[in-house]
Amino acid sequence: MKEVAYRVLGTWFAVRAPRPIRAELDRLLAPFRLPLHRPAPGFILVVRSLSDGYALEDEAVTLLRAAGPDRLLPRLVAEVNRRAVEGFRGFAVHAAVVARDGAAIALPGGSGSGKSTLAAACALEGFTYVSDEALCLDFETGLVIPYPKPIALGPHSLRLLGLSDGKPGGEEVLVAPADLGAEMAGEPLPLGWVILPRRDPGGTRLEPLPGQRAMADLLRYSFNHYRRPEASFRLAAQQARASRTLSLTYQDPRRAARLLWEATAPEGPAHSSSKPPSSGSGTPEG
Amino acid sequence: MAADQDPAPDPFPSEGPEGRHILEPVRAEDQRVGPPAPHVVETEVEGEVSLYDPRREEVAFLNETASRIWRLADGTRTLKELIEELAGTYGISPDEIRPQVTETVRGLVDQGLLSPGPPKGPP
Repeated sequence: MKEVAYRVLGTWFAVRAPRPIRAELDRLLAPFRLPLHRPAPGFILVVRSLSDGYALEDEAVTLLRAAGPDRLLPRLVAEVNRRAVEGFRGFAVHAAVVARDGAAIALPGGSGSGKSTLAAACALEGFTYVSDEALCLDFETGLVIPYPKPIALGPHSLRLLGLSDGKPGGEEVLVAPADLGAEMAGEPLPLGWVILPRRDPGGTRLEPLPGQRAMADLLRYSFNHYRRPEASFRLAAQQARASRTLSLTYQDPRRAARLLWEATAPEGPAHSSSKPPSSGSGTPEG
Repeated sequence: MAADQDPAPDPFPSEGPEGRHILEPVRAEDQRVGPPAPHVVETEVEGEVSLYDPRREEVAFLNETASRIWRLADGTRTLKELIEELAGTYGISPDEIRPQVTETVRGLVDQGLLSPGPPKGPP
């Protein structure tokens, strides 16, 4: 089996897999592909063909089995994601992250809060895709390190986004940002906005919040602040000072993305002054 | 027999291990408030103070009023003076703000963020 190599958030790894799996993985992990094979990756994952599906192994230890590529790939990418975020040396926060006009927009939230759906909705709206999983900040530069992993979407999210094939049920699927027509961030960029999302059936609106709320949520949803607590505390404060903080109340992610697009336009309401808008802007949920 | 048993430990002792009156600054208005404990890391976002205590590995986020109290609690003022100064800032009587200030100072001292200050007296 041939091997392909990737680097994700500073973690180098290789995957040995049958050709169809390699091809799909290459499509999904295109931004992380190394042009040349490196001889000493941090770990090597091996995908073996079995009579009834596939097994994913690491150093001869079976991590999981899956009936087909559709089941295997989301779990393989989840395993890579877990290791990459764990190995990241900067400050990492659970968040959807998109960008516009060279500034990153972070939407922090816990697992299952709808980050991936919001990230996909924003990508469909025209934002540059940065990550559906983690806001990754460099301690030294304070810049956002792009982590454009494939977007993991469940059947409910696909329906909300109008991407469902109409069939009931279904499994989580991986969507490459390019499939949504989105550009992917390639270079580190400054954080410009912290948007605190909250699902509520009352309507779609953006409202200004004190910057301290951004700081609190960056720390609350951090993966790894415990490793360098004081540096994380200072970095979260620095980012909150440098960003605009808004709350986003929404039910429909596509409407939320549209409102965010309007608000972050260079001539938009949240851009027109040095401070966030003094009153909320929004649209009723239709 | 109950009379022979040791009394239950006081859950809110007024003296620390060395006999120092750790809550005294918030009980007597003529005692100084603060200064901040030297190990506490402080930062500010849009006028609101956040504190990191590396010993407890805890973060405290102060609202605007608590942030003002924090800045005034530098060890030079008594609690009474702090209350009067803050009341002047807000244009209200000291009695209106006394319970909130006292409670905030008590919380900051209890969390080890503010040092218990000595009574105000001649240098």
